[in-house]
Amino acid sequence: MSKSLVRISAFVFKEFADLIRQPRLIFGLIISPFLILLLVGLGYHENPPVFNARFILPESSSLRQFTTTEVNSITPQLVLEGVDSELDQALSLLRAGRLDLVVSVPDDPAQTLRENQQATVTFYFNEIDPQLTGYMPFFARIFIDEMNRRLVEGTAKQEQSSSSSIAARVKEARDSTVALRAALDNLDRGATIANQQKLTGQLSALDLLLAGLSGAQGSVVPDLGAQRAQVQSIQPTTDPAQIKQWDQQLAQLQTDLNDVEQQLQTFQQTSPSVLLSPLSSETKNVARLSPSTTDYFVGPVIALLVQHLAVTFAALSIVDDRRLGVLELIRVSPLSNLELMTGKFLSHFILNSLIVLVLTTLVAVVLGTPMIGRWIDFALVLAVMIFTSTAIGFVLSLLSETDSQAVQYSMVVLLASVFFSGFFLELSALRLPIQLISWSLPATYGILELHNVMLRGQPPSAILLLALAGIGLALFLIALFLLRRRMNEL
Amino acid sequence: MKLDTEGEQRPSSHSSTNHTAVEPSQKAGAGSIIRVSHLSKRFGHQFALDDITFTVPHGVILGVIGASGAGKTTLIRLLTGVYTPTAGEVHVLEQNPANFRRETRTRIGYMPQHFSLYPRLTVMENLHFAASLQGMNLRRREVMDSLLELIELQGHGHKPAYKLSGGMQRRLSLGAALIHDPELLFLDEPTAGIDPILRHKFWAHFHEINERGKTVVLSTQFVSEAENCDLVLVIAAGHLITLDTPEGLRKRASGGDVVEIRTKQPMQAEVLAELSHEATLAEETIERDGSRIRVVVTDRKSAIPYLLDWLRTRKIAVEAIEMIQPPMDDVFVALINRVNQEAGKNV
Repeated sequence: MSKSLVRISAFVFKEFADLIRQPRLIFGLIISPFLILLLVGLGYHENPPVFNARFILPESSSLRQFTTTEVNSITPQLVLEGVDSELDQALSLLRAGRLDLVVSVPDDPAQTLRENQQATVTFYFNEIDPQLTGYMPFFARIFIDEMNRRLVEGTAKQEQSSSSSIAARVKEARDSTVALRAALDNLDRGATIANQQKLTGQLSALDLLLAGLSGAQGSVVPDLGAQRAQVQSIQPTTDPAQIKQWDQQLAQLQTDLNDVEQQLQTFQQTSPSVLLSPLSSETKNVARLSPSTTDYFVGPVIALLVQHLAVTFAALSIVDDRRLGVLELIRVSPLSNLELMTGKFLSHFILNSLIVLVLTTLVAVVLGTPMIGRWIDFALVLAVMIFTSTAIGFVLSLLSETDSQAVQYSMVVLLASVFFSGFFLELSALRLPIQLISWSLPATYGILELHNVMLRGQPPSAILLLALAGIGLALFLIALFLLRRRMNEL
Repeated sequence: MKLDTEGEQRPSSHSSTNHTAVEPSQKAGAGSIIRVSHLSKRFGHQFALDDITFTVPHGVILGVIGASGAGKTTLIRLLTGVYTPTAGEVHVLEQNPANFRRETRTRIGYMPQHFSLYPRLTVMENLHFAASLQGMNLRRREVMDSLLELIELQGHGHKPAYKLSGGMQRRLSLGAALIHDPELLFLDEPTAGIDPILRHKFWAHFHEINERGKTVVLSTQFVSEAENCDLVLVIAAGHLITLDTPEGLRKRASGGDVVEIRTKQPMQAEVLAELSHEATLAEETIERDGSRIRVVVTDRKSAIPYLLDWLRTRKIAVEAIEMIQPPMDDVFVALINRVNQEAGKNV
């Protein structure tokens, strides 16, 4: 083995020997993060929030009955705690934290509707969590949409029921039309007059009934008013031309009545929910995997842990050597700065890799985290991450004067990673200048790449990996420069 | 104060101090292993060393002696290349320590003032680390065993360094400095904080190393240890007081060799007055304590026969006449006092 390799290996052996003498540190580095992941996996439930709600309606409100019977079945997210008419009292309970939601329905929604305006239902909540605050308008809109649908569905059912009697009347009118045509054809004066009067009356009634129904059934209702006027003008006659003209008009009426009857039949047979919501939605995920929330966060947590471990280890390393006086020994020894930095890098790289290997094995075996990509890609991503994170750590170590300063710097990097790496906040939610911070953190690359590999089964992005490795290389050179300066300043 | 190459003191405080080491013994090799010229080191506005010049021959034990804060560690660090000089030149093994070549570094061993190894690593692991830093072959079992024996840490090889006593830690540090058998060894206060017995053993090691032709440069606060050195470099407040052999230091401190004469009867005052004017005496100073007289002579070899003859001529019965070697502590104090006096005169 060349002397240079022997010198570099000094640090690899030293780091190993140093680490195995610190069982608590090993526990802290490997077992603790795993236990945290395990507890999150066991403890996290994916149920949406449930709101304890009180509805406020006047005693006389027509919606009171509907609220009592229907609200609890609209969504499991809303549990009706009670119906009351005192808003102030309910708001006091809301502010005291004894209610999650107070829903105030207007005193007379029918009157507002008559004024051609929407009646506004107000949802009061007491929340400081920005996510929940943002969620509440969405929840309220979905809830009210469902409430509207149910209210209108009730009305539609009533109309369907009333449409049966209309259908009977249509049939009667059609029969009268047939009879009138026969009377005219037979030159039966008495029957013509009788049927003409009967049909006129029936058409008048139908015209009124169908006008009220037309909006609900959503179809084109023939102008029975005009046809009624034509029927009214029919008189007993022997003029064949006149008889032929009236017969044609009555034939048209007969066809129209047939259409109306058919439409009424369709209306009666159609489900009210289909009638009111003709379009429904469904979603289909083309991703190969739909991970649980815990599984989704395993990659980011590993990325964050790897970065934090590598940064902190390296940050403490050179500060420790300086505190112990080892740097002074090294300065006098034949070890070059490049050998020192390479030895330190190599030792930290191997150690961190081993820690990550154990942690990943535990996560994969015990937690059963999905991994649909290739393990070699997974290892590659982590290797580049460890390299760059270690470089960050060494730069911090060479900028720090004391252990506590190095730890503080490491914590700042961790905190920045939690907020800017996409772990907690979406990258797209950050403005461009701030995203520069994101893209200077290995965790950002790690989270994206580990998601790609573990949950999408895709190979890592070569551009991102090269960018991350480039940052690592640049930081390595900066660390080397700072080390040279430090050594000269001993 | 200023000393010329012959060691003569010149009243020139805070100015250049030039010393070519007096040949300490026959064992010193040819040429100088260390050459320092007008060396200064400043930290901020504070001079740790000010305008120091000296040379050290091969194969000697050089003791750097001075009080705490005198600049001993700074000097060692300048000589090893840990520090770079503010002014002046340093040559160690014919090279500037700040730019030592790798091969040159392998010829140097360094033991810092404080324990500078890894506390959680065992004795063996620390020694292996030191050996690897020097690029030594990984098959080094034999070297390790003999080194453990040398530093008397056999049986402690698997003990973590933090569990060692202070003395054992010093021995471990010494082992780390010796592991590659360097030609030139720098030891910064190697005997600080250890008991007299261990200190004695350390000195035995240093002599053993020195006898194998190695040059040892060590600093110490124990002035008495100067006795063990071939050459002693005395520094005070960043200034070089002198570089000389222990014997030379005594001469400098006393103004010459001290000879004690014990007579059977106390000497008469007029006889003493006559003696004080004798040319063989370095100074007029004569200490008297009953029948015991101490005189300072320029050259003890010629002075003792001369004094015996002089006393015999005056029929003074001599009980004993012998060379007195004042303790180094006294020598050091006397030297500092002399420097201060000279500085006072200059002012």
